[in-house]
Amino acid sequence: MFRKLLFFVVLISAAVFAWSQSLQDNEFYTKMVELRDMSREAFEEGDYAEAKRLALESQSYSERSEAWIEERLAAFRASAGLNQLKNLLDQVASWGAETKHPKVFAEGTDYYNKAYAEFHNDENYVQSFKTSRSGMEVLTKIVAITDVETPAYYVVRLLPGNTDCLWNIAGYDFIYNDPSKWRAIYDANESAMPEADNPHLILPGMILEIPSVSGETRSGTWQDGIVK
Amino acid sequence: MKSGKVWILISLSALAACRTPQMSSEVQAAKLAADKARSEAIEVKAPIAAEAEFNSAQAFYDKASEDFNAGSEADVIANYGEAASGFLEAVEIALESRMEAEDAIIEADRAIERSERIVEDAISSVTGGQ
Repeated sequence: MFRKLLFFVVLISAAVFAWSQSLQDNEFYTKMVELRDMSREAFEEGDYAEAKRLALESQSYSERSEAWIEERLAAFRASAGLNQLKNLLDQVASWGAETKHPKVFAEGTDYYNKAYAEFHNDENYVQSFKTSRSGMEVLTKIVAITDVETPAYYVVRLLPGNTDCLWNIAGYDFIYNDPSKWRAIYDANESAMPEADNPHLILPGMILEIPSVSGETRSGTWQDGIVK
Repeated sequence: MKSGKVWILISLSALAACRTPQMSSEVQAAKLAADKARSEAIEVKAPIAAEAEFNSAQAFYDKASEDFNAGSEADVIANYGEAASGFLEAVEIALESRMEAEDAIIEADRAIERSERIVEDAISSVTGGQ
């Protein structure tokens, strides 16, 4: 584990170093400096008109230099974003996400392929980075779920000072990590609710079925912090 | 025989000295003004920065000197005057041109510094400032 981490750190450091070097090799910047130096020489010789011309020409490379740096930066970010997404895909794949969370995994893979094409085919680095971030967000849901056990049932708790409700339950990271998905729990348990058509009333000790919402595999019953 | 040659040489030198034109105070003043303006022009590198103006003034200066040495003083003062004003014009043009060049170089320096700062910021944004 430590060796893997060390390898990763070295890899990132090498990439950053290489990238820093490439920034300093900015041909427009080099030209700016060269022309400015020539301008100074002309100035020393008293050829002020030539000095002015060279200095203005040096300035004319400024915008191109800045645009070049921005593009390199965007490319670096996009490349780092792609690598992160790829690493996360590999990580969740090693946890069996392909079978446990097929929909989310497929969505993450689609984002990766899209980000890859935007980077390598279109050279649209800004968009590629955004797509990678979206892919990361999608896969992070799997990480949140996979890191904890994902129960198929939930035993309603009596919470002092706080009500256990479908909204809160859906928001738990081991349930959906998304409160807005409470309806899925309600739909799966509608017939067992204490009051018909009242999703707000649940009672301590009730066993709620937690249906799969994104193809994830669920098993066991969650009760007081333990999945049995 | 030898002392005779020496006497001839002394006599020729004395004759030459008698033929060198004496400068009137007006000519002296005109030449002084032209020399001063010329020195200023050279000081600000006008022979390069304002080449045409300097050369034109120099032509008047040379003509005045030649005429004076030839004993023809008619236009000497006027030509030294033209030379002085020409040299001063060259000084003015050179100084203006120098100022413009200085401004352009300062702007070029700023553009380079800005570019360097952007690179530093970019590097620090991916390395977390380490």
